Amino acid sequence: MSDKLLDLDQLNKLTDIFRVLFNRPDLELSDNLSAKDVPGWDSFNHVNLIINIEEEFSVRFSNDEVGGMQNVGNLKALLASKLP
Amino acid sequence: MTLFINPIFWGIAISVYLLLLMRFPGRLIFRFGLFNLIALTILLGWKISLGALGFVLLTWSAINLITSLKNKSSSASRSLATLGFFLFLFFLFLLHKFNLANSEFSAQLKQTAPWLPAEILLPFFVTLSFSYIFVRCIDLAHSCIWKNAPLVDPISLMGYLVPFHMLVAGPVNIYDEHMRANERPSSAMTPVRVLLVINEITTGLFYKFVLAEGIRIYFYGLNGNISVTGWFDSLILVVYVFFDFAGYSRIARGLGLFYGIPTPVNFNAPFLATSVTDFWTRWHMSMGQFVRRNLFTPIQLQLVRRVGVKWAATASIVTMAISFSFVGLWHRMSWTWFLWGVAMGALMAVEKFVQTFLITKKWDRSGIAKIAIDSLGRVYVLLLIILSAYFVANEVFPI
Amino acid sequence: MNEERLLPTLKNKARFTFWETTALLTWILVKLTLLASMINKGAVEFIYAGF
Repeated sequence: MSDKLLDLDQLNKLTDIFRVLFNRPDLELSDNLSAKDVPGWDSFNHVNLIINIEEEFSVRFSNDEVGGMQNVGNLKALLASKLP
Repeated sequence: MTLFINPIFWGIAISVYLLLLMRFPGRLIFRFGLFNLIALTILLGWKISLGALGFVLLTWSAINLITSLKNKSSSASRSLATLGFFLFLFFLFLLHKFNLANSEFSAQLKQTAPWLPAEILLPFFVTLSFSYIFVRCIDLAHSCIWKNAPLVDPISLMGYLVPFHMLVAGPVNIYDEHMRANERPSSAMTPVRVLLVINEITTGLFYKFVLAEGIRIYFYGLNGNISVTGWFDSLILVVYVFFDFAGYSRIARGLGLFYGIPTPVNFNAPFLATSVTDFWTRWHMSMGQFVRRNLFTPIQLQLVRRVGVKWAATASIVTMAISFSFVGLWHRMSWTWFLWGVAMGALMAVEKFVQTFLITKKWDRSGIAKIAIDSLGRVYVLLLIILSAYFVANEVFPI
Repeated sequence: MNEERLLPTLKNKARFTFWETTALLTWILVKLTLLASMINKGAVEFIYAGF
């Protein structure tokens, strides 16, 4: 995994996906945010979240990567490493 | 379970700990694998241990073959080998289940298939609770074939697939975690940790032999079996199975903590669950995590990618039904358990819609609405679990 | 039902006070005593689902 970071535009896009999917217009994506902090972020919605991100950013995650994400920090780093 | 009041078992358990303390050469999982093999031989006899070792060697060779084919990028032969391995595994699983369901199966098998070494195969399946070995094999195959995890040597693998302290009723340990047991700093056993581990083990024994058996004896007599003829029996069955199973899991976990061998937590106050979905993240948790890791997430991912996000909800229902019917059939190969699994999957899909509705209405936030919904949820979960136990009771304890 | 809920702080402690040690040892002893009394009654005709 590289040390690349998401730029502001990408971060906003990602935040929007979370806000729409979990119906939380005020949600802020801190790195420590994890599934247990967001009602509705369960195994069902985790996969939907990933597919939404894949479609929005035109990237592809492997099964292993999808299962291994612990928090938003992980997700951001992984996404950044996949973007050109 | 009787194993845990067998003084020989405890003698062996302590000996394994002492042997692990001595710094023999080799990685922790190898040393554990070796001492585990000795422990199994003393506990179950050489025949069963040999059967287990043979099975582990076969599994090891198969996975080794499949991963080496992968490196040579001959995808057709690799798919064939993978399919062959899973068919073989499934065949053994069926043998195990039929043997459990039918006491005359052993004799029938000898007649129809005299070429099978039934004397070694059958005791191996019965004594070693092959159901757990079966799911561990799936976790191993998923990790090594699809996630590129390295395959450990056969002796270490035996410690993962057939660990003597998780012999009868799990939990379902995780291959990735087992492999990494070496990398963790050797956590020294301070007096405080020893006390906490002893507390864990004694609580497990207390759950099983005082609470579970106490409840059974109180309601059904000294040598009585739980037989479910009404709703109250069903409640007793749920409470009994909880203390029996959670007790067993705690003893196994306590021993795992002693050895430094990852042994997952299996129960987390399941009766406080506010939905059935929540219940399955608290009851037999290691199985729930296994299903999520190896079935739900991969299937759901493939399915939604294929049909598109718009159909994600429908895909969830299908995936949930598939995953839980697997869990149902894993318990017993019967229609009752299959329907139990499909019903649980469907129920959780319904719960998902209710939860989304509650989130939209913002009733899931703090306040009176949340307290009321959570309390109602707990009553609903308990009633539903009693109903489900009533439904499958005769398959758990056949009359 | 769940000890972790009753003793949440003990799990993460590196050192116990005298009273904490005494309490935990007493609890372990109580469990072992009850266990011994159950087993001695000869009630050990255990059933197991055999999953």
